[in-house]
Amino acid sequence: MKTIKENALVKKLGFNRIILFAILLLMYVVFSLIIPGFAGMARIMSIFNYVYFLGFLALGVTFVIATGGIDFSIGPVMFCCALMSGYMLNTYGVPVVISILASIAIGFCFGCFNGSLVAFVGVPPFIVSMATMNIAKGLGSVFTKTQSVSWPQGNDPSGNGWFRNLVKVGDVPTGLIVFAVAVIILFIVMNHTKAGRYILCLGSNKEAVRLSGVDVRKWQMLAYVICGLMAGIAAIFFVGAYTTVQPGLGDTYNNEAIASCVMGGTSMAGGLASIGGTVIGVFVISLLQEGIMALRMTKEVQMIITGLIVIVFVYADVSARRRKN
Amino acid sequence: MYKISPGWTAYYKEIQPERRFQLLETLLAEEADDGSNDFRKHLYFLRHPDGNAEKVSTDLYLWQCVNFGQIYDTSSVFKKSGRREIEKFLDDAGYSEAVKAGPDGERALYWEIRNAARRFFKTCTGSDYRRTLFGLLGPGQKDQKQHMTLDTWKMTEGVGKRLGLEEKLALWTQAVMDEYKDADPTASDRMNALKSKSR
Repeated sequence: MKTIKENALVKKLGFNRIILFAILLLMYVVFSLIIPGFAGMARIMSIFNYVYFLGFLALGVTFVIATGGIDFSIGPVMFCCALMSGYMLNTYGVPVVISILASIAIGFCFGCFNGSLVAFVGVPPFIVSMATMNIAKGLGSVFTKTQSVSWPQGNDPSGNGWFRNLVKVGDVPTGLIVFAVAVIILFIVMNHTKAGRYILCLGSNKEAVRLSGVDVRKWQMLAYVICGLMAGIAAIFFVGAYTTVQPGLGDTYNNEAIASCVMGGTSMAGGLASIGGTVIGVFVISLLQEGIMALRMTKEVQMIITGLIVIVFVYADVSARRRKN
Repeated sequence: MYKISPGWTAYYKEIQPERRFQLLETLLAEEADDGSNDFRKHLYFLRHPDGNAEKVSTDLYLWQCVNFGQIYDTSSVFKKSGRREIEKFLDDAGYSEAVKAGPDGERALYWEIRNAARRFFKTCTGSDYRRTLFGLLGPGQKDQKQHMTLDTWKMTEGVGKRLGLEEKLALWTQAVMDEYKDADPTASDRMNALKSKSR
C-alpha cells in the first residue's frame, strides 16, 4: 500500500480521490449487475440531471468549508431562488432571461447575507446558516403564497422553455458542458488565485492571516457569496431537470452537497479543499440516489442512507486527522 | 548559532510590530553595531512595508508561515507554481540578499524569521486555531500542539523537500525549527515523532 501511495502519479492525483473514483466505478458495476437496464443511456442522463444541481451546490459549499465554516442553507436557498424567480416568470410575465438572472441574484443576496453575518458580525456559521435555512424556506413560501411553481416545458408555446437547452439538447447533455466549465473556473479560483489562497489559509490559521495584513472578513465573505451564487445557478439546473419546485423543502440537499465535499477530501476543519474530489463525490452521491430509486426504495430510505454516508465520511475525516496527529 | 548581544534579545522577543519599531530605533542608536544593524532595519521594512505607521497592518514573513504550509498542501499537483511563489518571496523579502551578504546578513535574517515564527506560534494557542467540525469544536490543547507541529514541519522541511528547495530554505527552516523547539519543552519530541512517521 505504501508503495502505491508513493507512486508519483498517485501522489499527483491524490490517493483518496483515486479510491473514491474506484468506489464510483464499483457502485456503477454493482448497480448495473443487480438492476436490469441500469446501464442504459436514459439512466446515465438521469444521473447527470442530479449531478448538475447537486454539483453546483457542492462546489459552492466547498469554498465555505475551506474557510472552516459551514452553510446548511444551500438547499433551501436553491429552492427559494427557483420558487421566487419561477413565480416572477409565471405570474408577472418576466422574461426567462431575467428570471434566470433573478435566481442568481437571489442566491447572491443570500450569500451576502450569510457572509456578512459570519465575517462582519461574528455570528457562528452554524447558527447563521440554520437561521438562513428557515428564512429561505419561509421567504419562498410567502412569495409564492405556499403554491408550488412549475417552470415552462421545452415545448411551451410561450417559447420560454428554451432555458432547458442549458440542461439537455436532444440527447446531448449540455448541462455537463456548463458544469465542466464551472468546475474549471472554480478550480482555477481555488488553486491559482489570491482569493483561493486566502480562503484556504483562513481555514488553516485565521488569526495569523489577519495579523499578516489580509482583510480576512472580505475573503471569508467572498466564500459565502460564491456559495450563494452557486445555489442560484443550481436552482436553474434543478428546474431545468425537474420542472416543479415546492415551497418549504430543499434541506435534504444540504447533506448531499456537504457529503460530496467531505468525501472528496475537503477537510471539515478548513484549510484543505479539493474541487476535483468534490466533483467525484457529487457523482458518487448522484449515482447512489439513482441506484436507490431504481431499487424502488422510498425517499425516506434515501434520506437515511445519505445521512449515514455523511456520518461515515465525517467520522473518516475526524479519525484520519486523529491518526495524522 | 547566530549569537546576538543581549540588548537585541528584547527586540526579537517582542511580537508587536509597533513596539518592535520603537525598540529598533532605540537599539540602533544605543547598541554597538555587530555588523547586522543595516540589515535589521532593511529586513524590518521589507517585512512590514508600513512598519513606521501608528498601526502596522502587514507582516509578510508571518504570511509566509501560513502560506508555505498551504503551498505544501497544494504542491503535489502544482510544483512549479509553488516553487516560483517561494522563490519570489525569497527575492522580494530580502532573504536572498541577506544570505548572499554572509554572516551579518544571515544573523539579522535568522532572528527576523524566528520573530515571525514566534508570532505565528502565538496565534496557534488561540481558540480559533484549527477548530474542527465546521468551526463548532475548538481543539484540545494536545490537538493544538500536534497541529502546530505538523504546520511547522509543512512550512519548513515539508515544503522544502516537496519542492526541492531544501538548500534555499535552509536558513528559514533552521530559524523556524529553533523557535519551535523553544516554544515548549515537549516540542522536540513531537517533531522527532512526526519526522520518524513521515519517513
